[in-house]
Amino acid sequence: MRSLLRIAYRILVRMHPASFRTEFGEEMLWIFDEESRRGATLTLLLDGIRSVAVQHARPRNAETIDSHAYREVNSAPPVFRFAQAGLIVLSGAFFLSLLFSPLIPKLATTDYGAAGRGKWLLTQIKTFASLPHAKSAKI
Amino acid sequence: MKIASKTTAPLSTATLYILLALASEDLHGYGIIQEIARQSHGSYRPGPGTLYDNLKKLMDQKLVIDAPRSSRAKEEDRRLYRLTQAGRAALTSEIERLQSVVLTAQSRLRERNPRSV
Repeated sequence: MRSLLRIAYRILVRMHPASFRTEFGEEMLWIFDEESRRGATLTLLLDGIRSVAVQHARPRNAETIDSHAYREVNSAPPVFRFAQAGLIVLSGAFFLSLLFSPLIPKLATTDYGAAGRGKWLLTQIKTFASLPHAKSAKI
Repeated sequence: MKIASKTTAPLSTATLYILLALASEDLHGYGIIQEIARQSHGSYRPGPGTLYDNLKKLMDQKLVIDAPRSSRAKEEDRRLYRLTQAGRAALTSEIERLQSVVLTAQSRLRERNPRSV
């Protein structure tokens, strides 16, 4: 459980702006490790979320001499990337389910009524999955 | 001059406690948190996000700097933070401001006591 919370906190640290993360990221993780032994992990996670929000909300108007020569590359994972990744995973799962659908046992027509209202969705899925079998059987 | 104008505004609780923690000695991040908890008798313990958010602001204003490596103990591998003269001046002015607030509050409370009785 603690390792999962640490992973969650590491993700939070990763979501900070690059300059802040580079400067303080390791120290934040170190303090998280020390403080989590006291059992205040939830407070630390909330503090991390607040910190991410504050760091991203704060205007970066600190003009330095080299600010025109260098530009900070924000490598924090944005929300739309997560959404894209989620869509890709869902699409992959859908095509895998189509690929393996012939392996699902064919549903007898008599089972359709016997499944009951509570299992309607499951029955629909099984019926849909058994369609390629039904077609091949007819041929 | 620029620093002085920035530090006239009242400091936040976290900022005040960080400056107070660093007033006596150089400390690393976790040391600052422990010192704040000790000073506030455990009633206030900032998380790492709050600490480094405020520490970054203080470092941007040159009120806190990195302690030079030569001043660190050999076994001390952690980054230490040090209060600058400007930081000490900011802390002093804030303490004076708080003192005046306390004095004003005390005098007001003394004035109101006879009326309330």
